[in-house]
Amino acid sequence: MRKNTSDKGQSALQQGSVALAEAAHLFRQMRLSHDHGAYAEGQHVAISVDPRWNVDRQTLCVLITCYAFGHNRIKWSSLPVYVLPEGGKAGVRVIARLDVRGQTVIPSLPPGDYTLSLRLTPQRGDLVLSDKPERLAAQGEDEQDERRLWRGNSENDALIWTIEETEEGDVQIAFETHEERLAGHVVVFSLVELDSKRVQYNHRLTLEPTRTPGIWEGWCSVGSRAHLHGPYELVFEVVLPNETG
Amino acid sequence: MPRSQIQTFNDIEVAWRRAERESDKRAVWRVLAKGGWLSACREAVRLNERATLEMWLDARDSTKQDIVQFVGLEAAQLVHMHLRCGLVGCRVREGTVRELLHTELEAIAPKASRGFCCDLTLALVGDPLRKAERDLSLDVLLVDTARNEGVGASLLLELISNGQGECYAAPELVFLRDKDARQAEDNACAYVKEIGLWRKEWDVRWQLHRRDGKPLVTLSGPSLGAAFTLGLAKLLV
Repeated sequence: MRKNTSDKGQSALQQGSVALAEAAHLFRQMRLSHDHGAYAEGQHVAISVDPRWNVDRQTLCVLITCYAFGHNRIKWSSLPVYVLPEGGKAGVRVIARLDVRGQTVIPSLPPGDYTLSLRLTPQRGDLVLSDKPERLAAQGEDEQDERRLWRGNSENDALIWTIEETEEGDVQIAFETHEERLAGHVVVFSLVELDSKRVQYNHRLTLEPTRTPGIWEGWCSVGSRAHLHGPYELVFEVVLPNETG
Repeated sequence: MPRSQIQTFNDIEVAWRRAERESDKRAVWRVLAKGGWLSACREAVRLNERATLEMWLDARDSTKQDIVQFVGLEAAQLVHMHLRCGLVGCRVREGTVRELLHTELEAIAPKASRGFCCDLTLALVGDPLRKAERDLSLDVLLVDTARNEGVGASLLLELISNGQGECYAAPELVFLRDKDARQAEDNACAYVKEIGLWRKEWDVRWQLHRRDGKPLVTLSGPSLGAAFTLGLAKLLV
Protein backbone atom coordinates (compact mmCIF):
# COMPACT_ATOMS: atom_id res chain seq x y z
CA MET A 1 0.00 0.00 0.00
CA ARG A 2 2.71 2.39 1.01
CA LYS A 3 4.63 1.78 -2.19
CA ASN A 4 1.51 2.43 -4.22
CA THR A 5 0.91 5.83 -2.50
CA SER A 6 4.51 6.76 -3.06
CA ASP A 7 4.28 5.89 -6.75
CA LYS A 8 1.17 8.01 -7.11
CA GLY A 9 2.93 10.93 -5.41
CA GLN A 10 5.93 10.54 -7.67
CA SER A 11 3.75 10.44 -10.75
CA ALA A 12 1.82 13.57 -9.69
CA LEU A 13 5.11 15.35 -9.11
CA GLN A 14 6.37 14.40 -12.55
CA GLN A 15 3.11 15.50 -14.15
CA GLY A 16 3.34 18.78 -12.29
CA SER A 17 6.83 19.50 -13.54
CA VAL A 18 5.89 18.53 -17.10
CA ALA A 19 2.92 20.91 -16.90
CA LEU A 20 5.11 23.70 -15.54
CA ALA A 21 7.65 23.19 -18.30
CA GLU A 22 4.82 23.39 -20.81
CA ALA A 23 3.54 26.59 -19.18
CA ALA A 24 7.00 28.15 -19.44
CA HIS A 25 7.15 27.14 -23.10
CA LEU A 26 3.73 28.68 -23.79
CA PHE A 27 4.63 31.93 -22.00
CA ARG A 28 7.72 32.34 -24.18
CA GLN A 29 5.57 32.20 -27.30
CA MET A 30 3.03 34.76 -26.09
CA ARG A 31 2.99 38.51 -26.68
CA LEU A 32 1.03 41.10 -24.76
CA SER A 33 -0.05 44.37 -26.27
CA HIS A 34 -2.46 47.17 -25.41
CA ASP A 35 -4.46 46.08 -28.50
CA HIS A 36 -4.90 42.46 -27.62
CA GLY A 37 -4.47 39.85 -24.97
CA ALA A 38 -3.22 36.36 -25.52
CA TYR A 39 -4.33 32.79 -24.99
CA ALA A 40 -2.38 29.60 -25.45
CA GLU A 41 -2.99 26.01 -24.49
CA GLY A 42 -1.03 22.81 -24.53
CA GLN A 43 -1.69 19.26 -23.34
CA HIS A 44 -1.60 20.02 -19.64
CA VAL A 45 -2.16 23.75 -19.15
CA ALA A 46 -3.71 26.83 -20.70
CA ILE A 47 -2.51 30.41 -20.21
CA SER A 48 -4.70 33.47 -20.51
CA VAL A 49 -3.36 37.05 -20.57
CA ASP A 50 -6.19 39.54 -20.36
CA PRO A 51 -5.37 43.28 -20.58
CA ARG A 52 -8.08 45.89 -19.91
CA TRP A 53 -7.83 49.66 -19.98
CA ASN A 54 -7.96 51.31 -16.60
CA VAL A 55 -10.44 54.13 -16.01
CA ASP A 56 -7.71 56.70 -16.71
CA ARG A 57 -7.26 55.22 -20.26
CA GLN A 58 -3.51 55.69 -19.76
CA THR A 59 -2.60 52.29 -18.36
CA LEU A 60 -3.72 48.69 -18.54
CA CYS A 61 -4.75 46.25 -15.86
CA VAL A 62 -3.54 42.80 -16.89
CA LEU A 63 -4.88 39.58 -15.43
CA ILE A 64 -2.69 36.53 -16.04
CA THR A 65 -4.22 33.14 -15.34
CA CYS A 66 -2.70 29.68 -15.63
CA TYR A 67 -5.16 26.76 -15.78
CA ALA A 68 -4.21 23.17 -15.18
CA PHE A 69 -6.26 20.60 -17.08
CA GLY A 70 -7.72 17.55 -15.34
CA HIS A 71 -6.78 16.96 -11.74
CA ASN A 72 -3.25 18.25 -11.96
CA ARG A 73 -2.24 20.05 -8.78
CA ILE A 74 0.48 22.41 -9.83
CA LYS A 75 2.55 24.48 -7.44
CA TRP A 76 2.11 27.87 -9.06
CA SER A 77 2.69 29.81 -5.87
CA SER A 78 5.47 32.47 -6.09
CA LEU A 79 6.56 31.53 -9.60
CA PRO A 80 7.53 34.83 -11.20
CA VAL A 81 6.20 36.00 -14.56
CA TYR A 82 8.52 38.50 -16.23
CA VAL A 83 6.85 41.08 -18.48
CA LEU A 84 9.47 42.94 -20.52
CA PRO A 85 9.29 45.43 -23.39
CA GLU A 86 9.50 43.58 -26.69
CA GLY A 87 12.83 43.60 -28.49
CA GLY A 88 14.77 44.54 -25.35
CA LYS A 89 13.65 48.16 -25.63
CA ALA A 90 13.72 50.55 -22.69
CA GLY A 91 10.49 50.81 -20.79
CA VAL A 92 8.54 49.47 -17.87
CA ARG A 93 9.53 45.99 -16.71
CA VAL A 94 7.32 43.97 -14.42
CA ILE A 95 7.87 40.94 -12.23
CA ALA A 96 4.53 39.53 -11.04
CA ARG A 97 4.48 36.41 -8.91
CA LEU A 98 1.68 33.88 -9.35
CA ASP A 99 -0.55 33.03 -6.42
CA VAL A 100 -1.44 29.51 -5.36
CA ARG A 101 -4.28 29.42 -7.93
CA GLY A 102 -1.96 30.36 -10.79
CA GLN A 103 -3.10 33.98 -11.09
CA THR A 104 -1.55 37.41 -10.85
CA VAL A 105 -2.69 40.94 -11.62
CA ILE A 106 -0.55 43.76 -12.99
CA PRO A 107 -2.58 46.82 -12.03
CA SER A 108 -1.09 49.55 -14.23
CA LEU A 109 1.00 48.68 -17.25
CA PRO A 110 1.73 51.40 -19.83
CA PRO A 111 0.53 50.64 -23.36
CA GLY A 112 3.09 48.89 -25.55
CA ASP A 113 4.26 45.51 -26.75
CA TYR A 114 5.63 43.08 -24.22
CA THR A 115 7.13 39.61 -24.05
CA LEU A 116 6.34 37.19 -21.23
CA SER A 117 8.32 34.51 -19.50
CA LEU A 118 7.73 32.21 -16.56
CA ARG A 119 10.55 31.18 -14.22
CA LEU A 120 10.21 27.70 -12.78
CA THR A 121 11.87 28.45 -9.45
CA PRO A 122 9.63 30.10 -6.86
CA GLN A 123 10.99 33.50 -5.83
CA ARG A 124 10.29 34.96 -2.46
CA GLY A 125 9.90 38.72 -2.39
CA ASP A 126 11.61 40.16 0.67
CA LEU A 127 10.42 43.57 1.79
CA VAL A 128 13.29 46.08 1.73
CA LEU A 129 13.87 49.83 1.96
CA SER A 130 10.79 50.30 4.07
CA ASP A 131 10.63 53.10 6.62
CA LYS A 132 11.69 50.90 9.49
CA PRO A 133 14.92 49.04 8.86
CA GLU A 134 16.53 46.59 11.24
CA ARG A 135 18.61 48.64 13.68
CA LEU A 136 21.89 47.33 15.00
CA ALA A 137 23.20 49.98 17.37
CA ALA A 138 22.53 49.76 21.06
CA GLN A 139 19.38 51.40 22.33
CA GLY A 140 19.83 55.05 23.14
CA GLU A 141 22.65 55.63 20.69
CA ASP A 142 22.53 58.66 18.47
CA GLU A 143 20.45 57.95 15.37
CA GLN A 144 23.43 59.02 13.23
CA ASP A 145 25.35 56.04 14.54
CA GLU A 146 22.76 53.41 13.76
CA ARG A 147 23.05 51.33 10.65
CA ARG A 148 19.98 51.26 8.46
CA LEU A 149 19.88 47.83 6.93
CA TRP A 150 17.73 44.96 5.75
CA ARG A 151 18.94 41.37 5.68
CA GLY A 152 17.83 37.92 4.64
CA ASN A 153 18.73 34.55 3.18
CA SER A 154 17.87 32.66 0.05
CA GLU A 155 15.31 29.85 0.43
CA ASN A 156 18.06 27.22 0.73
CA ASP A 157 20.24 29.48 2.92
CA ALA A 158 23.09 29.24 0.42
CA LEU A 159 23.08 32.98 -0.12
CA ILE A 160 22.78 35.79 2.38
CA TRP A 161 21.93 39.31 1.33
CA THR A 162 22.22 42.74 2.91
CA ILE A 163 20.81 46.05 1.79
CA GLU A 164 22.23 49.04 3.62
CA GLU A 165 21.58 52.73 3.48
CA THR A 166 24.84 54.45 4.39
CA GLU A 167 25.09 57.77 6.21
CA GLU A 168 25.80 59.37 2.85
CA GLY A 169 22.40 58.16 1.63
CA ASP A 170 23.92 55.61 -0.73
CA VAL A 171 22.00 52.34 -0.94
CA GLN A 172 24.28 49.32 -1.23
CA ILE A 173 23.35 45.70 -1.83
CA ALA A 174 25.52 42.67 -1.13
CA PHE A 175 25.08 38.95 -1.75
CA GLU A 176 27.44 36.64 0.09
CA THR A 177 27.95 32.88 0.10
CA HIS A 178 30.13 30.36 1.87
CA GLU A 179 29.39 27.69 -0.73
CA GLU A 180 32.24 27.18 -3.15
CA ARG A 181 29.92 25.65 -5.78
CA LEU A 182 28.42 29.15 -6.23
CA ALA A 183 31.78 30.83 -6.84
CA GLY A 184 31.67 32.72 -10.12
CA HIS A 185 27.88 32.37 -10.38
CA VAL A 186 25.79 35.45 -11.06
CA VAL A 187 23.04 36.85 -8.86
CA VAL A 188 20.36 38.54 -10.94
CA PHE A 189 18.30 40.77 -8.69
CA SER A 190 15.49 43.29 -8.97
CA LEU A 191 13.85 45.80 -6.67
CA VAL A 192 10.15 45.63 -7.44
CA GLU A 193 7.51 48.17 -6.43
CA LEU A 194 4.92 46.52 -4.23
CA ASP A 195 1.69 47.68 -5.81
CA SER A 196 2.56 48.20 -9.45
CA LYS A 197 5.03 45.26 -9.56
CA ARG A 198 7.25 47.44 -11.73
CA VAL A 199 10.97 46.85 -11.57
CA GLN A 200 12.59 49.96 -10.12
CA TYR A 201 16.14 48.64 -10.41
CA ASN A 202 17.77 45.48 -11.66
CA HIS A 203 21.34 44.34 -11.98
CA ARG A 204 23.65 41.31 -12.11
CA LEU A 205 26.44 40.65 -9.63
CA THR A 206 29.13 38.00 -9.89
CA LEU A 207 30.04 36.14 -6.69
CA GLU A 208 33.78 36.79 -6.45
CA PRO A 209 36.31 35.73 -3.84
CA THR A 210 36.75 38.15 -0.95
CA ARG A 211 39.84 38.70 1.18
CA THR A 212 38.32 36.22 3.64
CA PRO A 213 39.00 32.64 2.49
CA GLY A 214 35.83 30.64 1.85
CA ILE A 215 33.58 33.65 1.25
CA TRP A 216 32.40 34.88 -2.14
CA GLU A 217 30.54 38.14 -2.56
CA GLY A 218 29.00 40.48 -5.08
CA TRP A 219 28.04 43.99 -4.08
CA CYS A 220 27.24 47.33 -5.64
CA SER A 221 25.65 50.68 -5.05
CA VAL A 222 22.03 50.81 -6.13
CA GLY A 223 21.81 54.61 -6.01
CA SER A 224 20.75 57.38 -3.71
CA ARG A 225 18.07 56.72 -1.10
CA ALA A 226 16.56 60.05 -2.13
CA HIS A 227 15.60 58.41 -5.42
CA LEU A 228 14.66 55.02 -4.00
CA HIS A 229 11.55 55.69 -2.00
CA GLY A 230 10.57 52.10 -1.27
CA PRO A 231 9.33 49.87 0.06
CA TYR A 232 10.28 47.31 -2.56
CA GLU A 233 10.34 43.56 -2.89
CA LEU A 234 13.81 42.17 -3.45
CA VAL A 235 13.58 39.35 -5.99
CA PHE A 236 16.69 37.45 -7.02
CA GLU A 237 17.96 34.24 -8.56
CA VAL A 238 21.40 32.68 -8.98
CA VAL A 239 22.37 31.74 -12.51
CA LEU A 240 25.47 30.41 -14.23
CA PRO A 241 27.84 33.11 -15.55
CA ASN A 242 26.75 32.67 -19.17
CA GLU A 243 23.02 32.45 -18.44
CA THR A 244 20.94 35.52 -19.18
CA GLY A 245 18.74 35.11 -16.10
CA MET B 1 28.46 50.73 14.42
CA PRO B 2 28.54 53.80 16.65
CA ARG B 3 31.56 56.01 16.02
CA SER B 4 32.07 56.38 19.76
CA GLN B 5 32.72 52.62 20.01
CA ILE B 6 35.97 52.79 18.05
CA GLN B 7 38.58 54.71 19.99
CA THR B 8 41.49 52.30 20.21
CA PHE B 9 43.21 49.61 18.14
CA ASN B 10 41.68 47.03 20.45
CA ASP B 11 38.22 48.43 19.60
CA ILE B 12 39.04 48.03 15.92
CA GLU B 13 39.92 44.36 16.33
CA VAL B 14 36.83 43.71 18.44
CA ALA B 15 34.58 45.40 15.87
CA TRP B 16 36.24 43.41 13.07
CA ARG B 17 35.77 40.11 14.86
CA ARG B 18 32.10 40.92 15.37
CA ALA B 19 31.64 41.75 11.69
CA GLU B 20 29.98 38.58 10.44
CA ARG B 21 29.50 39.64 6.84
CA GLU B 22 31.58 41.50 4.32
CA SER B 23 29.00 44.31 4.46
CA ASP B 24 29.58 44.55 8.23
CA LYS B 25 33.31 44.94 7.54
CA ARG B 26 32.60 47.75 5.09
CA ALA B 27 30.51 49.42 7.80
CA VAL B 28 33.38 49.12 10.29
CA TRP B 29 35.72 50.63 7.71
CA ARG B 30 33.36 53.56 7.17
CA VAL B 31 33.59 54.29 10.89
CA LEU B 32 37.37 53.98 10.74
CA ALA B 33 37.48 56.44 7.84
CA LYS B 34 35.32 58.90 9.75
CA GLY B 35 37.82 59.30 12.56
CA GLY B 36 38.38 55.78 13.89
CA TRP B 37 41.95 55.47 12.60
CA LEU B 38 42.76 58.96 13.86
CA SER B 39 41.31 58.24 17.33
CA ALA B 40 43.09 54.89 17.62
CA CYS B 41 46.47 56.37 16.61
CA ARG B 42 45.97 59.37 18.89
CA GLU B 43 45.21 57.07 21.82
CA ALA B 44 48.24 54.91 21.03
CA VAL B 45 50.46 58.01 20.99
CA ARG B 46 48.95 59.25 24.25
CA LEU B 47 49.76 55.92 25.91
CA ASN B 48 53.11 55.65 24.08
CA GLU B 49 52.07 52.27 22.63
CA ARG B 50 54.82 52.01 20.03
CA ALA B 51 54.62 48.24 20.02
CA THR B 52 50.94 48.38 19.04
CA LEU B 53 51.64 50.78 16.17
CA GLU B 54 54.50 48.57 14.99
CA MET B 55 52.30 45.47 15.12
CA TRP B 56 49.78 47.16 12.85
CA LEU B 57 52.58 47.87 10.39
CA ASP B 58 53.83 44.28 10.48
CA ALA B 59 53.08 42.67 7.13
CA ARG B 60 53.19 39.21 8.73
CA ASP B 61 50.15 39.91 10.89
CA SER B 62 47.50 38.84 8.40
CA THR B 63 44.46 39.76 10.52
CA LYS B 64 45.61 43.33 11.00
CA GLN B 65 46.70 43.62 7.38
CA ASP B 66 43.28 42.33 6.27
CA ILE B 67 41.72 45.25 8.10
CA VAL B 68 44.23 47.82 6.85
CA GLN B 69 44.00 46.68 3.24
CA PHE B 70 40.28 45.92 3.14
CA VAL B 71 39.27 48.82 0.90
CA GLY B 72 42.35 48.94 -1.29
CA LEU B 73 45.90 50.08 -1.68
CA GLU B 74 45.33 53.82 -1.56
CA ALA B 75 43.44 53.71 1.74
CA ALA B 76 45.99 51.24 3.13
CA GLN B 77 48.77 53.74 2.37
CA LEU B 78 46.88 56.39 4.30
CA VAL B 79 46.52 54.03 7.27
CA HIS B 80 50.24 53.26 7.11
CA MET B 81 50.89 57.00 7.09
CA HIS B 82 48.78 57.35 10.26
CA LEU B 83 50.71 54.52 11.93
CA ARG B 84 54.13 55.92 10.93
CA CYS B 85 53.14 59.39 12.05
CA GLY B 86 51.91 57.82 15.28
CA LEU B 87 55.35 56.30 15.83
CA VAL B 88 56.92 59.67 15.16
CA GLY B 89 54.37 61.17 17.56
CA CYS B 90 55.60 58.82 20.28
CA ARG B 91 59.17 60.00 19.65
CA VAL B 92 58.03 63.63 19.59
CA ARG B 93 56.46 63.13 23.01
CA GLU B 94 59.77 61.71 24.20
CA GLY B 95 61.51 64.73 22.71
CA THR B 96 63.76 62.69 20.39
CA VAL B 97 62.44 63.90 16.99
CA ARG B 98 60.28 66.72 15.64
CA GLU B 99 58.71 65.20 12.55
CA LEU B 100 58.63 62.28 10.12
CA LEU B 101 61.90 61.91 8.24
CA HIS B 102 61.76 62.51 4.50
CA THR B 103 63.16 59.04 3.77
CA GLU B 104 60.47 57.41 5.91
CA LEU B 105 57.80 59.46 4.12
CA GLU B 106 59.11 58.37 0.72
CA ALA B 107 58.88 54.77 1.84
CA ILE B 108 55.26 55.06 3.01
CA ALA B 109 53.77 57.03 0.17
CA PRO B 110 55.97 58.77 -2.37
CA LYS B 111 53.23 61.21 -3.34
CA ALA B 112 52.25 62.10 0.23
CA SER B 113 52.29 65.68 1.31
CA ARG B 114 54.99 66.46 3.87
CA GLY B 115 52.85 69.23 5.26
CA PHE B 116 50.00 66.81 5.81
CA CYS B 117 52.27 64.33 7.60
CA CYS B 118 53.57 67.10 9.80
CA ASP B 119 50.03 68.18 10.71
CA LEU B 120 48.93 64.58 11.20
CA THR B 121 51.80 64.02 13.63
CA LEU B 122 50.86 67.21 15.52
CA ALA B 123 47.21 66.11 15.62
CA LEU B 124 48.20 62.69 17.00
CA VAL B 125 50.38 64.27 19.65
CA GLY B 126 47.54 66.62 20.56
CA ASP B 127 49.33 69.80 19.56
CA PRO B 128 47.86 72.61 17.44
CA LEU B 129 48.29 72.18 13.68
CA ARG B 130 50.92 74.20 11.79
CA LYS B 131 50.38 77.91 12.27
CA ALA B 132 48.66 79.67 9.38
CA GLU B 133 49.89 83.01 8.13
CA ARG B 134 46.44 83.97 6.92
CA ASP B 135 43.17 82.26 6.14
CA LEU B 136 40.00 82.63 4.17
CA SER B 137 36.57 81.19 4.81
CA LEU B 138 34.02 80.60 2.06
CA ASP B 139 30.37 79.63 2.41
CA VAL B 140 29.59 76.58 0.31
CA LEU B 141 26.49 74.52 -0.28
CA LEU B 142 26.80 70.75 0.04
CA VAL B 143 24.12 68.30 -1.00
CA ASP B 144 22.99 65.85 1.66
CA THR B 145 22.25 62.94 -0.64
CA ALA B 146 20.56 61.00 2.15
CA ARG B 147 17.86 63.65 2.45
CA ASN B 148 18.23 65.27 -0.97
CA GLU B 149 18.62 68.71 0.54
CA GLY B 150 21.22 71.45 0.68
CA VAL B 151 23.51 71.84 3.68
CA GLY B 152 25.39 75.02 4.43
CA ALA B 153 29.09 74.59 5.17
CA SER B 154 32.24 76.67 5.57
CA LEU B 155 35.36 75.94 3.56
CA LEU B 156 38.39 77.23 5.44
CA LEU B 157 41.61 77.67 3.47
CA GLU B 158 44.78 78.42 5.45
CA LEU B 159 48.06 79.64 4.01
CA ILE B 160 51.15 78.25 5.71
CA SER B 161 54.30 80.06 4.73
CA ASN B 162 57.11 77.56 5.44
CA GLY B 163 55.83 74.88 3.11
CA GLN B 164 56.58 73.20 -0.20
CA GLY B 165 53.78 74.33 -2.46
CA GLU B 166 51.37 71.63 -1.31
CA CYS B 167 47.63 71.65 -0.76
CA TYR B 168 46.22 69.15 1.71
CA ALA B 169 43.20 68.41 3.86
CA ALA B 170 43.09 68.63 7.64
CA PRO B 171 43.76 65.18 9.14
CA GLU B 172 40.13 64.37 9.98
CA LEU B 173 39.08 64.76 6.34
CA VAL B 174 41.74 62.71 4.64
CA PHE B 175 39.66 59.54 4.14
CA LEU B 176 36.46 61.40 3.36
CA ARG B 177 36.88 62.26 -0.31
CA ASP B 178 36.13 60.22 -3.35
CA LYS B 179 38.28 60.22 -6.48
CA ASP B 180 36.29 62.99 -8.22
CA ALA B 181 36.51 65.28 -5.19
CA ARG B 182 40.29 64.76 -4.98
CA GLN B 183 40.62 65.40 -8.70
CA ALA B 184 38.63 68.66 -8.39
CA GLU B 185 40.99 69.79 -5.62
CA ASP B 186 44.04 68.89 -7.74
CA ASN B 187 42.62 70.74 -10.75
CA ALA B 188 41.96 73.87 -8.71
CA CYS B 189 45.53 73.83 -7.35
CA ALA B 190 47.00 73.25 -10.81
CA TYR B 191 45.05 76.18 -12.22
CA VAL B 192 46.07 78.59 -9.47
CA LYS B 193 49.70 77.52 -9.81
CA GLU B 194 49.51 77.96 -13.57
CA ILE B 195 48.39 81.57 -13.29
CA GLY B 196 51.36 82.25 -11.05
CA LEU B 197 49.63 83.02 -7.77
CA TRP B 198 51.17 80.20 -5.72
CA ARG B 199 54.66 80.70 -4.28
CA LYS B 200 56.83 77.58 -3.94
CA GLU B 201 57.20 77.97 -0.19
CA TRP B 202 53.48 78.19 0.48
CA ASP B 203 51.29 75.30 1.63
CA VAL B 204 47.53 75.49 1.83
CA ARG B 205 45.58 73.42 4.34
CA TRP B 206 41.82 73.17 4.05
CA GLN B 207 39.04 72.21 6.36
CA LEU B 208 35.29 71.94 5.91
CA HIS B 209 32.64 72.26 8.60
CA ARG B 210 28.90 71.87 8.34
CA ARG B 211 27.13 74.88 9.78
CA ASP B 212 24.62 72.68 11.58
CA GLY B 213 27.50 71.12 13.53
CA LYS B 214 26.81 67.59 12.26
CA PRO B 215 29.80 65.47 11.21
CA LEU B 216 30.79 65.41 7.58
CA VAL B 217 30.32 62.28 5.54
CA THR B 218 32.25 61.35 2.40
CA LEU B 219 32.61 64.24 -0.03
CA SER B 220 31.80 62.97 -3.46
CA GLY B 221 31.87 64.53 -6.91
CA PRO B 222 33.70 67.53 -8.33
CA SER B 223 31.32 70.25 -7.14
CA LEU B 224 33.74 71.74 -4.61
CA GLY B 225 36.20 72.49 -7.42
CA ALA B 226 34.85 75.97 -8.17
CA ALA B 227 34.90 76.98 -4.49
CA PHE B 228 38.48 75.70 -4.23
CA THR B 229 39.62 77.66 -7.27
CA LEU B 230 37.95 80.88 -6.15
CA GLY B 231 39.10 80.47 -2.54
CA LEU B 232 42.71 79.67 -3.45
CA ALA B 233 42.89 82.59 -5.87
CA LYS B 234 41.58 85.00 -3.21
CA LEU B 235 43.78 83.56 -0.47
CA LEU B 236 47.01 83.68 -2.44
CA VAL B 237 46.66 87.11 -4.08
